[in-house]
Amino acid sequence: MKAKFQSLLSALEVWLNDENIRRIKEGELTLKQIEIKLMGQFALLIALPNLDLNATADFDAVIRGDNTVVQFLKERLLEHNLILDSDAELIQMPKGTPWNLFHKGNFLTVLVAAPEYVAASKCQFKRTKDKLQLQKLLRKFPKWKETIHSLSISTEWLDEN
Amino acid sequence: MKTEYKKVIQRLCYEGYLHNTVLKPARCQITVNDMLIAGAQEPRILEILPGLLLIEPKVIRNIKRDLPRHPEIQEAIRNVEEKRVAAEFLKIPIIDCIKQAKILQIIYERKKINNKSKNLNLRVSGEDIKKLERLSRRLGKTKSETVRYLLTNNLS
Repeated sequence: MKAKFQSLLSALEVWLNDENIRRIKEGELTLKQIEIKLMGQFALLIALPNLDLNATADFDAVIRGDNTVVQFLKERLLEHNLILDSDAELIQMPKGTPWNLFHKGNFLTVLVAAPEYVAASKCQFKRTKDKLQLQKLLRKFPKWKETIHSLSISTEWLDEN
Repeated sequence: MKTEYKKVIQRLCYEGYLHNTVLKPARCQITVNDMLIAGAQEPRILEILPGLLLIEPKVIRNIKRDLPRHPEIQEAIRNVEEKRVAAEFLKIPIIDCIKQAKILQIIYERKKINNKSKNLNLRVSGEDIKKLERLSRRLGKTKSETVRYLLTNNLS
C-alpha cells in the first residue's frame, strides 16, 4: 500500500510539472504547492506497513490546493480503487496531533497523522468496527494508551464485552 | 490467521473493494459463511457484505444455496436498498453499509469499463515505442495505462 501510494504521488508530481509548463506557455496562472493531510484508517496503513491492517476504499485526506489538482487526484486515486472521502474534514483529529512528513516534492507535500493520534481519534467514536483493531494496536504498542489518556480520551470501552 | 479471513481479504483486495498491508490480492473462492467468519475478525468485511451482494454477487459462491439460511443478511440488503439508516447489521450501522455500497458501485463501474477494453494493433516506429516506455516509467504506469492517460488528459 505504501509503495502504491508513493508511485501515485510520483505520477501526481509529473502531472503537476507538465501542467505548470503548459500553463506558463499559455500565460495562465500556475498551480501552487498542494498539501495533503492523510488521516483515518489509511494513515494507519501507511504508518504501520508490516502489521496486518485493512481499509475500505474510502481515502481520508484533507487537501489544500487548486480544485483542478483535487479532481486529478480523485481520478488517479480511483485507478487504485480509492475514493477520496468528502467527509474527511469531519474526522476529528485530537488537538496537537503530530503530522509526519511522508513526501516532499516540488509541488506536493504529504503529511500523515501520527498513528497513536489516529488511534486516539478512533477511540473518541467508539465504533464497533474499530474495537478489535484498537485492542490489537494497544497490545502491540502499550505506550499509545498513555498518549490517548493524556488527551482525556477513554479506552475503557475497549475492555468491555 | 484463520483461513477464512485470509481468503476473504485476498479476494476483496483482488476485487479492489478492500486494501490490506500484508496479504497479496488473490482470486480465492469465498462463500457467505467465509465472509461471516472473517467479518467477526474484521468488521469492515461486514460493512462491505450487503453492498457486495447487491452490486457484484458473483464474487461469492453458492449464494442461492446459502443466502436463505441467513435472514439477517437478507434484511441488511433490504435496509441498504431502502436506505433505512437507523438499522444495524451484526452491530454495524447500516449507514456505514450504505456508504460502502455507494463506493463499491463506483469501483464496480470502473472495473466494468476496464474489462471491456479490447486489443488494438498499431504500426509505430521504434522511437515511438521508446518514448512510450520512457513516459510510462515516469508516470509509473503500464503502456496501456499511459495511452489511456494521454487520451483522457491531453486530447479530450
